[in-house]
Amino acid sequence: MAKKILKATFENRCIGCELCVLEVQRQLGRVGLLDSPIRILREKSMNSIFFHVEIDPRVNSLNLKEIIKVCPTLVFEIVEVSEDEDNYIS
Amino acid sequence: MKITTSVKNILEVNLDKKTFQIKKRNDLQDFLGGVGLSMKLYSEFRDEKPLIFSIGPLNGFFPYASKTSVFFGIKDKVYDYYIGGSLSSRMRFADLDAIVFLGRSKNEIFLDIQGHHVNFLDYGIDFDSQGLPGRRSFIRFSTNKYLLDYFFRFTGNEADAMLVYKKISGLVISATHNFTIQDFSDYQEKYQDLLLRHGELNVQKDNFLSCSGCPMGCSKSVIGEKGGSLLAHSLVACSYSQKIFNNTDLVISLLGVLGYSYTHEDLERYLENLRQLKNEFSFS
Repeated sequence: MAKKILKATFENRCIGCELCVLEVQRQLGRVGLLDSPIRILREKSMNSIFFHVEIDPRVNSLNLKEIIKVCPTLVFEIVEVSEDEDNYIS
Repeated sequence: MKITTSVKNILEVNLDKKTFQIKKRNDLQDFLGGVGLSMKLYSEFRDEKPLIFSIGPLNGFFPYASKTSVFFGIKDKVYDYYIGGSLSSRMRFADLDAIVFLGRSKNEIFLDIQGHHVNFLDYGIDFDSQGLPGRRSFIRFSTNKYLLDYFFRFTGNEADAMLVYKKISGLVISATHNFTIQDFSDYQEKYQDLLLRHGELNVQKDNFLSCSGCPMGCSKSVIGEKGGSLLAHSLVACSYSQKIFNNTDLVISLLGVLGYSYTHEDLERYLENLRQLKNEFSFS
């Protein structure tokens, strides 16, 4: 059976605004960065700065459409995976 | 944790002695935040050459309130700067309204601030591994400038000179708290309404690195600001969002949902007091 999950397919577009982090936290009834199901990790290589979008599978029980909508650079998409794949991803 | 509207948390860091203390002050309610709070603290600590980072009541809670006030004096002039990035968000979620760096370290040091605690680290440590991943903001000396989050920098050279003078080679601040808001649905509604007003910002949407809580990714935020609107910089928002934050009706309603009970008269009085306080200093 297929299951819908959130994926940062276009992570390279992330500009580090953290609106997704704040959105998921608001959906959980809080404001802040602590224990967020999405974390934005800022990294630096020799000549560039990039972001790694870390997604806790628990995010998939939240309103994913609102998370997608809040991102100004369309980093996320909802993908369908089989239960087997989901177990593997989790 | 709940928002405490009557108390401001001021972290005093003594660089000479490598000590720190958090002061929960209930006498600063007349100084909204940002430039107002900085001026008040500067007047108290003037003899100890303070370098003050401060935020306002909206930082972390609402979009576009994404800057940090950086205030200090060199000789007989004071400098009123603002920097973007993630610093204001980390200060908010470290439950800090201001950090006052006093005196001067004897040696080059790194400071690791987590919530209300400060670790004084020696030069040479692996600075990249300090702080809390996903919740930290770095300021560090890189080539010839201090960079925040590897990207954002101060306008001019004076803030850099102040950090060099204090021998702060690097600083990392990590968020340690979440907040709850009593009327969360009202907060949510006001947050979404404000986010939809990005067209009123005086910058173009782009794909540069963005300040926390701002969707614009604009080309302007990389370099900090100097001076500007007293209200917007008390909150502490960027000057490109002045059209939004100079609207006192809106500001009062945003403050209201966080539990502050400012009236129009309160804000008018505050701004008048600030103008008078400003006259006590010689601004660069």
